[in-house]
Amino acid sequence: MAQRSSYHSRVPKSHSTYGFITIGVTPCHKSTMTTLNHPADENITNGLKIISYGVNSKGEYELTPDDVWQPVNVVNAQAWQEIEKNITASKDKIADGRASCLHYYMTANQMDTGLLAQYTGQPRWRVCLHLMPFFFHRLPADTLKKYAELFKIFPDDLTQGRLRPPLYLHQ
Amino acid sequence: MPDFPHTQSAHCESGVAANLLTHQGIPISEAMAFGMGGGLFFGYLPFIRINGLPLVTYRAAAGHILRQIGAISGVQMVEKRFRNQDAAMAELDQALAVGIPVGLQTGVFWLPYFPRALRFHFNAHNLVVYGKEGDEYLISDPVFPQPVRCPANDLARARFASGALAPKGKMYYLTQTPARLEYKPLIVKGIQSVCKMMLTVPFPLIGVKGIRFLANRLVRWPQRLGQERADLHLGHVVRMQEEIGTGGGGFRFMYAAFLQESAEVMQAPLLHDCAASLTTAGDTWREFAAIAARVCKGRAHPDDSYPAMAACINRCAALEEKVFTELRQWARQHP
Repeated sequence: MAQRSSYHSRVPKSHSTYGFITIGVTPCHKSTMTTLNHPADENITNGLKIISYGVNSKGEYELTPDDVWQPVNVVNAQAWQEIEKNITASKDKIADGRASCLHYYMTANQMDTGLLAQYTGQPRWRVCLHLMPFFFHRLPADTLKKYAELFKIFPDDLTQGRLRPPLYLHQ
Repeated sequence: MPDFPHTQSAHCESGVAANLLTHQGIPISEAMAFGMGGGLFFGYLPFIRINGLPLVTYRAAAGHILRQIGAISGVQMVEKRFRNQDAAMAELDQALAVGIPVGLQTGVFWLPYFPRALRFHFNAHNLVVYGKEGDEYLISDPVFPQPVRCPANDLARARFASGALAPKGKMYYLTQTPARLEYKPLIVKGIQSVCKMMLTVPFPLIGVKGIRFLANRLVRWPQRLGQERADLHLGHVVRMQEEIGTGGGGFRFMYAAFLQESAEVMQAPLLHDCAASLTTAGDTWREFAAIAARVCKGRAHPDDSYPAMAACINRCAALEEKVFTELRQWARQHP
């Protein structure tokens, strides 16, 4: 590594770059971030400062509020891209009639059949059946209510097949 | 409004431990709580899957630090788990009514005040509830700069999150603490337990051996999994290492801060040297993370490759082996 400056360089707030990744707090924060193409915002914490451990010029550790280290934004964005890809695939499946809208709510809320079964207190095989439109259309009201409560939507949304945003996007 | 000494920290569990002890009149830093609790670790456990990706952990199992703190002589910690959600919330309200700040284990996905990008199904997030106003709880969440608020039913959900590491409504609070802590034996004990986990456990997936195991596996990911899955695996390792709650460098910087603080307490210059070496190890982890981020982003430099990253990880293993061997020898001389 030509610029092996990863940590120590952060204390005097530098503009040194680690390849394409800008390290440290740069005033030109926004412009450097355009290259990172994060889906939501430039910083995964929405601008919230987190504490990080840094070595000062005397070699002593000190705690400083700081932005998230840039590579973290990159790998976090990667994880969300994967989730979004799954959501798109799920929507396609529903549009083709190969899955019920429960499949979308499960995927969008980052769950799988096992987790959804645990949250709704049913066996997993039953959840698997509910993902198929045939069984889903025949669900009793109380089961629909269980799902609706979990995802904070109305049972109507499920029966009408409305795809509302996942929980973490609720206001 | 009830008063609680909220201090922002890098890691939730050590932060909660430090804040609770500070509230009881024992001012202690987060790094010290992390070190005394033996929080550092490494484990690569591919048979446990998180969203289909192998578990990599740089810290001790969730709850380990708090257990160690609770086991200090003179400290009494009450820990409860519940089956019933209403009973759990009633018990919390009762404790708050008599002015006891209560630590909770929660699922991050259900906490509305968390930044959107961090809301994954991670169920071992610790926080302290120190009051209630109307239908809202006042929360000292150690990774946030200021205390936050959370509606009661969201908190109830977070306490009863399902999945891996399900909290089952776990709550804990300190009922008794000694007038002052005897730091020296606790530091030695904390260091000993970490050295044991890092060096001597006869299991190839944890400690320094685990780091080398990860390096060996990582080289073969592109062939075994294809480029796309390999990059996902890589991103996952970096997230576990660097994402919020680690203090950076897979907790290595935090542990180095603990060693530095301990060097002053113990009057042991050797710990200063170990702290410096561990900082180098943390920097090397970060070097790996930076390469990995470039690879994940598809902007790899000509010399960024999986073998180069494996070499980086192997260097971390060598550095950490040296540090912890020295620490183990030092701890033997200070029983």
